[in-house]
Amino acid sequence: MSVEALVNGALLGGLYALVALGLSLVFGIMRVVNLAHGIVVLAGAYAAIVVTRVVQVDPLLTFVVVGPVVFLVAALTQRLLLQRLLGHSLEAPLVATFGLLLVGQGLFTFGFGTAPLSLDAPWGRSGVTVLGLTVQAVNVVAFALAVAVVVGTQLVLTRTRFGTALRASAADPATAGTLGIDIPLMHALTFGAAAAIAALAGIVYGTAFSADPNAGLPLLVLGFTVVVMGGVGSVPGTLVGGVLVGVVSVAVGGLLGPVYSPIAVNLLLLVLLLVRPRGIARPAWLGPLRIGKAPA
Amino acid sequence: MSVPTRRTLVGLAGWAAILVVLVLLPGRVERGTQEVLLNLLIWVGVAQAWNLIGGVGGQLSLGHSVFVGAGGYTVAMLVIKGGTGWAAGLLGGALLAALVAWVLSFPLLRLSGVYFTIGSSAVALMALAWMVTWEWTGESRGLNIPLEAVPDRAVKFRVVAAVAVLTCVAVSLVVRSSFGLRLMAVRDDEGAAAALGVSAVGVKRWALVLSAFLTGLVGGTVALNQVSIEPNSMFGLKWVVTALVMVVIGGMGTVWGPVVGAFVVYYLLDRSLEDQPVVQALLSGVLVIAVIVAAPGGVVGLVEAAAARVAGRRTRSRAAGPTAAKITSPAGEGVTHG
Repeated sequence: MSVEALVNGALLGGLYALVALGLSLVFGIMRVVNLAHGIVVLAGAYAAIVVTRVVQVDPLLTFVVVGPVVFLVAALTQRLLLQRLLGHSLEAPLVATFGLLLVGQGLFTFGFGTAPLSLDAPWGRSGVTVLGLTVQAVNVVAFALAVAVVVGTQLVLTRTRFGTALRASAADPATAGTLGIDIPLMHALTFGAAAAIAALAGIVYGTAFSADPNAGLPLLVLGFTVVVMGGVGSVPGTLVGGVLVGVVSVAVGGLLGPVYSPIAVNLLLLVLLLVRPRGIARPAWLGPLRIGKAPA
Repeated sequence: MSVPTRRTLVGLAGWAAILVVLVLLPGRVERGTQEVLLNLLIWVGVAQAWNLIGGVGGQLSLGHSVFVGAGGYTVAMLVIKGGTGWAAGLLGGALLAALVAWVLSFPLLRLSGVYFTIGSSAVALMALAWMVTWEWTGESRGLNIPLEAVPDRAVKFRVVAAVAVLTCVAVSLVVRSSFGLRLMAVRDDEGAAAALGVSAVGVKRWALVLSAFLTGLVGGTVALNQVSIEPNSMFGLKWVVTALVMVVIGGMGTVWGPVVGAFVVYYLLDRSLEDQPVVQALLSGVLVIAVIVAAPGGVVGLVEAAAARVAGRRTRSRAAGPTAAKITSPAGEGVTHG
């Protein structure tokens, strides 16, 4: 186990943080978890694959098109389908997003087959030397993007009027509604933004690894592990959680063999749930933890 | 348990009649028909056992493929390496699945709602990854149960039928028991149930253990039926994903929902679209969304609503919660079917 490998793992954690951030945001603001979140990550990868087939550009550039499209589709899905299920029962949004997971899986299998597809980028397979350590360029890109997105999201949430309105609608939807905050609009925007971040993660994921239609559930579980590790609902916590999961996954893979990485990450989740279900960092503005309760 | 009511006894008699018909079936129907019916009964068992925790308990587990696998692999290992008979193997598999569920319940039941769902799917993914690498159980090659240790086709069919009926009887007894009422109270309002002195984690734990026991039993019959098993065929998420789809479409938390759902999904959807698995997956996703939006009570809920309308009773939309259907539905209908 070399220092280089561990640094690579920590940087790869940036990708994990990007996968998890949307999950954390949607739970923090709406108290709903999208079981199709992993499918949205894959949607980003597949959409980028389609765009790069049409025009030869760097995969990251495709986000200019992929990001807004995914944002729109997700915001509309939330507005037209999920919003009306929020009051129904605890199971309804869960079952509906599970249905979306199946639909996405079917669509991707239909359009791209079950064979894994990957994106090509100059930074995809090369290495760079930072401070005398050789690390993979894709991991550096992932980490830089994650830091930028996490810091940006945190600033929007804490330093803008829009962010204040979002936090208000999370803390007390009824009161926020009477103060003129359009709660369904807030929810749709949150859902769309979370999906766009997931799509960005998908582009990096498709370049670093490869997209396959059945990876939706494993990606969701990975994101969830990061969220639990970093503290449910905490934006900076996702970055911390991502880095820790990245290091654990690389360390176990290096010591025992790559097949044990996913096992270790899943085991980590179970142990965390047992000893520290609240995660490491949880912001005060989210109020007391109400896991799994229906929104008011 | 208190003295069984008349309704309960009538319901049990109905299930007994169904079992008798199924047991007499082998040799009286075509080979192909019997094979289809056998697979349908396996799905009824898996869906019904899942319904106990997922529908009646309201905890949408995605981890049940672990219990199918645990049951199946235990039967194979006991028969191959332990030299026991298949019947002892089945019981061993069910007990091991129950034990696994009991252990898993400690981390998993710290979560409720969607977090339980994701946590349980982590367990399923982990188990699948582990089984592929575990040398003792044949890694990705799996295990072959010697043919002489497997019961013949007729016996196999009767065993599968008995297990499927057992899961249905178990769920119909649970929903009428005080344990079932506590479980449903926790599902509908955990806070209120806890305030009335119900141990939420306690009832969910025992529901999960019982559900896993039944799932393990069905998993054992799956292994006996397949003879040659490998990690993907036993621990694959297909088991739990399909069970969830079946129960949602049929009617969550009802006794007949999983039966109807298994028929709709396995017989109407899967078999008619056998050569188009993609369309099949898409359709089940769309159906699940359509049901949860338009008819949260599933097919059974729709039928009950229609029956109530025919009977001239005033009905209300059950959009707010499927509670009423769940408590009143079970045993009586067993008679009409049998």
